[in-house]
Amino acid sequence: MIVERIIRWARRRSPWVLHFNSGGCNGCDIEFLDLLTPRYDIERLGILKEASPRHADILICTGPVTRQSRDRLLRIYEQIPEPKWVAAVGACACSGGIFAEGYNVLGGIDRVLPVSMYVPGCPCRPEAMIDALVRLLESI
Amino acid sequence: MSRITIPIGPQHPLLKEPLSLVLEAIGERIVSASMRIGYVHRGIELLCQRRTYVQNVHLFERVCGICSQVHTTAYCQAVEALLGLEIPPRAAYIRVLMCELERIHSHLLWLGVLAEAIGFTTIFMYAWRDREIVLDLMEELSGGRVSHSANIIGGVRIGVSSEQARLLEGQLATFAEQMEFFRELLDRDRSFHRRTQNVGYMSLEMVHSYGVVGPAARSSGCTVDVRRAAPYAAYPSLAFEVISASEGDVWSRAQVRLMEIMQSLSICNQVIEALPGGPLAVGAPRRVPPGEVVTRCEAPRGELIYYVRSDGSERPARIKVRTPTLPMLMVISHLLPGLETADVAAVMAGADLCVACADR
Amino acid sequence: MMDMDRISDALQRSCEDNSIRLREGLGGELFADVPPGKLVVAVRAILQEGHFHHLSTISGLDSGQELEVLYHFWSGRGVTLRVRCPKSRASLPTLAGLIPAADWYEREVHELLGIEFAGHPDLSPLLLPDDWDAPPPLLSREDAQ
Repeated sequence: MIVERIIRWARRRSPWVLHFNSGGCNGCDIEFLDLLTPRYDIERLGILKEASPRHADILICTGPVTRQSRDRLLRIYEQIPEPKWVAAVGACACSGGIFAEGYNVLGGIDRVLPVSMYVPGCPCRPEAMIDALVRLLESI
Repeated sequence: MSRITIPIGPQHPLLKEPLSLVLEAIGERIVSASMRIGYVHRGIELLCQRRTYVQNVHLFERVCGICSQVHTTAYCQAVEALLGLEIPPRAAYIRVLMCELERIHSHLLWLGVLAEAIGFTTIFMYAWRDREIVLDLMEELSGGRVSHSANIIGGVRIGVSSEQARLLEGQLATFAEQMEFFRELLDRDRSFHRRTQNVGYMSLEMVHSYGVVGPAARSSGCTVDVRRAAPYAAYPSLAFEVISASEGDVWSRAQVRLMEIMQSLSICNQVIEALPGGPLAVGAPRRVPPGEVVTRCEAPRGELIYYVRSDGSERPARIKVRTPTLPMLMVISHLLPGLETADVAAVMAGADLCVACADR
Repeated sequence: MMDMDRISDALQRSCEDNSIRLREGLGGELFADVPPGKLVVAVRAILQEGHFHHLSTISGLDSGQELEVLYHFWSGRGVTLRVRCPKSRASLPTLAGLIPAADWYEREVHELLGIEFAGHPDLSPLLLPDDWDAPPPLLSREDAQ
């Protein structure tokens, strides 16, 4: 279908991402913000950081999921319109990392949400995040 | 006019980290504010009791991704005091170098976040662009942009070669020129003044009663800096000024931080100039004798305190961390009432919050 | 720099039976054991006569037999007041009226160790979730079970 192809083309060319820190230490979050700034500048790839879940296509999660942030994370995910993808950025988001055994920590993002892309690293480098986003887009 | 409730967070474009702020407003005027934190509480103080002292260096580095170096510095100093270890002078200087580079990057990060919050995206981009110079230097020295793993118990893991020292000198000189540009810009820019002057006033009395520390306290007339009041590492032999101001608004917080960056640059240059030779670390035993110690360091956001209790085993019996953001969070709900809703962004971003630090 | 004797004097005077002893610990930090009943007068002495207006934080810990609460004051030099209380009656007077900063620090000690602070305005959870139903996380394991 020609319409479907156009939609897919548009989706791959301009994905909007939403960032949520569900319990991280700030390391990956700051590196994610770095993506917006002149050196990495992901806007040149058509990727835009969005503030509202309702406008987003990709949810970037950093940090492990804590007991307080679990419900909020689910709510944000539910607010994102279909189709949607989740990227777990950093060791904690992938598996709980160094905090996995914490009494207030549930584990990695995949304990709560289906994750399409795991990006390891503590903290995750901006280059790795760009690579992950590009591969995620290629898979769409 | 009826009261309206404005919830901000835990996920909100203004907040880089999750916390929940509930504002009550009549029209545009805020009448009360309440706060709930704990969204990034990971239970580090219990996790550390299950790990050995050596493993805990890596855990405490991850209390906070912005000021990781100062956390390991405070922790290692505490354990070294319990062990009765004296670190080599070279290690003390390198710790200071990394701490000051971290302070520069943290202050610039904050300037960018503040600028973005008041709608001045250009400064955000410029500040973060120049921050990359410092991150590159830290990566060159330690191999990591954000987490450096520079400190070990008994000293440091990384040295500074003469080529690296020359590179540092050159890059820091370039950086100093950029900072002059920022200073001039903030001095002259009318829109920056109007968004930050006389906004979020904090009195010296509030500073004392809530125990606010660091640059935020120093912009309200407090002159306490742990590096000067209780010098640690190589600070006793380095010259620097304690910057303070008395206006107590967001604008003076910006001025204090910018001036502190200049002081940090000077400290870095002194370290490179006077870097002693010798070993990087001394050997440290795995078991720590029973005892307790309190250490304080000046983190980018102010006084950081560690209390460490040892029961004589390989694992700490109790470690308590109080980060500088916690008193700032306490005071913020008292700064907001009376403001217009549009100024909330400036005050929140101007407070230099690090929620990951506060929640642990 | 605060004079050790002066702080010691102030503490002694606050407590008529001379039961408070000041001792110097590692790094020059001063430690004093204060009986729970004398906490408020001792803190007042530290604030007014010792001129320590900065309460850095309050730490709590479980030493096995009893609970300890440490009040870390600072003014160029640190003074730590230590109060011990039995686990069966873990209750102390609040300092929130005297030092506003104690408000959140006491909330934290309350939720992590279960110590009550009599007279505290609001001991709701600071870091833990509202629906936390397990024992306070920093109590030693045997008690938690």
